[in-house]
Amino acid sequence: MSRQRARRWILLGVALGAFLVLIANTGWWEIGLRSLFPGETTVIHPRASLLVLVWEHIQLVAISSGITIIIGIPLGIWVTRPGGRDFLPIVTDITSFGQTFPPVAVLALAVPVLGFGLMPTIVALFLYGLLPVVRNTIAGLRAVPLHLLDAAYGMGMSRLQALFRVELPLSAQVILAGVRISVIINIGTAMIGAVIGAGGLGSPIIAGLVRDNLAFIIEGALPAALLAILADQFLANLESSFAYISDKV
Amino acid sequence: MRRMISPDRVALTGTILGLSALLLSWLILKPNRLAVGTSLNLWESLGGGAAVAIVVLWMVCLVLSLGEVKRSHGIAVGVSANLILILTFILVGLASNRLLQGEAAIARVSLGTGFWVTLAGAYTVIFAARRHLDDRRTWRNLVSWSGLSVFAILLSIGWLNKVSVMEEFSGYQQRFVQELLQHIRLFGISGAIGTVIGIPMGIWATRNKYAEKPVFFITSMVQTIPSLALFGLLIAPLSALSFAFPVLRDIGIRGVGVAPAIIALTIYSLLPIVRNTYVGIRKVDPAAIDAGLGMGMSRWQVFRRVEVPLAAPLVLEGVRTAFVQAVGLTTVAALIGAGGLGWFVFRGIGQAAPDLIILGAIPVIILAVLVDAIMRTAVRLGTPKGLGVENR
Amino acid sequence: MIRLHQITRRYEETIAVNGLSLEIEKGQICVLIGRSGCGKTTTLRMINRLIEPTSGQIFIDGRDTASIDAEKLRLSIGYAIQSVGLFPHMTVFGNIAVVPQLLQWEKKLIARRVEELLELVGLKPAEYVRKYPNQLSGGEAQRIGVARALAADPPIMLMDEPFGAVDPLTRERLQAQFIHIQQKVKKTIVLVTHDLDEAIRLADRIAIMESGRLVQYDSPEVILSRPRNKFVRDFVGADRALKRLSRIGIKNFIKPAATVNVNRPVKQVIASAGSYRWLWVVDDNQRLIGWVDKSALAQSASIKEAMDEGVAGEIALSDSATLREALSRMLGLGFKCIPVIDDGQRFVGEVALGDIEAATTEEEDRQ
Repeated sequence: MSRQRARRWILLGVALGAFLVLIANTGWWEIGLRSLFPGETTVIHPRASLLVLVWEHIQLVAISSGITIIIGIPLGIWVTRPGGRDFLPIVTDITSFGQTFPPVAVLALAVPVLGFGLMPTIVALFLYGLLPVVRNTIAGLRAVPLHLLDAAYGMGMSRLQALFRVELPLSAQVILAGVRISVIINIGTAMIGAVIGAGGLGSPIIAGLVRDNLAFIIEGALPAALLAILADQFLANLESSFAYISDKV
Repeated sequence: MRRMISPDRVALTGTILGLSALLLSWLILKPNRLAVGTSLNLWESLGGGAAVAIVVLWMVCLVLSLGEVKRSHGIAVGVSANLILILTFILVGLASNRLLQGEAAIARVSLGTGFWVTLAGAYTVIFAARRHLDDRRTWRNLVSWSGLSVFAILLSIGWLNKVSVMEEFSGYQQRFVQELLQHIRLFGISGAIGTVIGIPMGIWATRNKYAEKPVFFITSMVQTIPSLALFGLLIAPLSALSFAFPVLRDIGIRGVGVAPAIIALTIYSLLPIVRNTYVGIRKVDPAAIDAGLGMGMSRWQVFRRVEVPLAAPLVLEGVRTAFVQAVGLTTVAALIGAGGLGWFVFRGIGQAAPDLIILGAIPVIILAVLVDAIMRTAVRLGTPKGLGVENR
Repeated sequence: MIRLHQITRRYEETIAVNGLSLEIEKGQICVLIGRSGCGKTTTLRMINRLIEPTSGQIFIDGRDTASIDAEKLRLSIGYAIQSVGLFPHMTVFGNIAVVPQLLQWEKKLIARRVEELLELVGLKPAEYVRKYPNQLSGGEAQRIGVARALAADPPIMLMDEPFGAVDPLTRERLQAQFIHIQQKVKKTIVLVTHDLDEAIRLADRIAIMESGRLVQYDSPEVILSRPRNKFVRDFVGADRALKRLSRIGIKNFIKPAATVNVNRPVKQVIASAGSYRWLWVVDDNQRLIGWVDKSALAQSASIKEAMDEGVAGEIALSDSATLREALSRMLGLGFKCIPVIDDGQRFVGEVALGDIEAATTEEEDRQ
């Protein structure tokens, strides 16, 4: 690993540590928010500690993104194989068309179907998160130069071996980029999940809006922003470790 | 060995979806808008004749998609699918009227899963049919749009007024228009400001090496922040400001409401526009610039007559992304009191009234798709002739 | 060893290969050559079943290739393509090790084999094993492509324009190295090229194809001296005679010549020079370092002062060169004789224009 990359990982580790310390110490928040908003009686949302809220949020995103990856990447692989090629146009169209849909709308429409709480949130996050993952998997696989595949098959690799030893490693960066987009969108949409009872960092914000309590709003907004930025940097760093400069021969 | 008949698998999938919908509930009759209601399947809701017709049409699709793929098949399949849609729409309108006769005024008929699955199946079949009609534009357009057009016509003449969503709409008609306009205002203004600020920023980033890194760092970092969080982070300082300077409150800038929404939405539109402007200008062939300067054009002329037209397609793509994104984000703004179609969505969630949710969410989706289509045309118009459209 | 029997490949409207029958003996290099679209690459790719023949059979060592599992077949045949196709995400080691790994060789064996192969293609293992393809020059990448094809020590190699993607200078060097390697490994090779000179230089037998059919299949000498029809004659070109010279090495034409050690005193040299007008200058190790004109000697204090340097690089020929190169150099420099040096730059003798003339006349007389 290059020294530059190692340095970035260390920086990320430090930031992560700082973040964890920050959200674990509710007392600091108490003090900070009280000084900013002297007029409020309560500054910390009573439902759950900040740590729990962050954990709930992470769980929401992790579970839905996990399912998205497990289903989305194989789906993207399948439509680029001879067996699934018939479905490539419609899948491509749905994934690009679907991205014009606001994620909030998908979340909202999940309610009439699945009710309130965790279930509709996870389903909506999973469905919407599929779009960038599938699209990037398809794009990444199709970008593998054909002559490399010819060399691979000519050498004696089976289709499966070529997929795992050549196509996927070369597409890894693009696929990971799709995962990153999906995760970041999910972190945002999960905030709104609080409205339908899924918990997470959206709940103090909603509570704050309802009760006109600015401190609550900050209690939710700031950690959420930090979490999103951290996740993005982490995944971006992971992504760049898969950068192979494409061959010139 | 070569002449094996291969079925059109996409059309087949659509047909199977459609046939499975026959077993699901089509309409739901509820004593009031919040109750669970009784599900009615195809027979019960639309009547025997309709049911037979629809089943027959699906059978036609099935047979055609199993057989050899011929051009005329594409038309037949597409027409059948559209007929199914048209029949469904017409009969839903009729049935909802019929079912509500004799019920209390607060009773509702809403659309069941079977309806939605039929829609999905029919459109999958239509999509498959379109692929065989590449060379027959009239048939292609007919197959793609007739179902939707009939729906729009029926909607406007009030045929579907007794369906629960439309009933909700009739109760909120004025509010709907108000929030729709507010929604358009919100994303329109923020998108416009974003463009006006973003394009110069992008240009600046290409000219100034020291500007490039911070500009991208900040815009991409902000882009990852969840919308609700950014709204939240803006509320406190704006609130403080409006308390400190009462004049702001008079012109409507308060902590919550439109002010933080527009500021946040504008910030979100920055990244796509700045990034695309930067890349668009960077991608202009340096040889073209060199030729222009060599010919005697001033730097400004080169910019205006060479760089701008060549970078325009990408810049416009960035603007398109920004606007489409803004349509969706504006929905969330309703939570902080800025209005917009999100008002219906969150009110529906709060009241556990699914029809209100649909009343808010579907128009947002349609708006997003419309804005996307309009902007795509703008991109096409803004691409200079002779420039190949980049395949995305 | 490889026998193609009535191979045909038909596409919807075109016939790419039409009833081709060919036999390639073990240890031979067979070059498929022809114009674009003649079917040579299609034929090559049918041997390892990347393309399946529409009809006909291909036998390798008596076994019908259709009866062997396609992947197993390809694992036992080396395959090198024009664009090389090195995997950018693997190191040089990783690339070469692919087939042995697929065959599940022991790790130590693989490591040893990679080292062996790198040395074979003339690249220092320590330097190259960890490099990535994007750090290699065109010539290096092509050599590693060949090493990769040889990795599992397959008895047969298929090569599609393996030296096509580099500049002429590098190509020449690669070709020389290829001949050198083949002398060591003695593989059965089927090679596709559109470059006739390359074919003439490398092939044991050349198969000229046109419109999917075999037009002539003979050794290069026969093709050059006895082209079967107008097509072959035109294809080979009007300078057949010159081309033939590229098949004959200069080894048998090297004659001993007078040399003088650079450290010898001038007076001694003038005295014993005799009738020679000029002499080749060598150092203590018999390495050629220049030439000296006898008249120049008279005015100088030492040989070193009087001599003309830079001979070895620009003028001297390697002893593995062909008559054609010798002739070309003579014409280019305006010399009637060229010094010859061996691998270690040591002077071996000289080749004279007159001897080449004699040789060509002899050849023609023999036809």
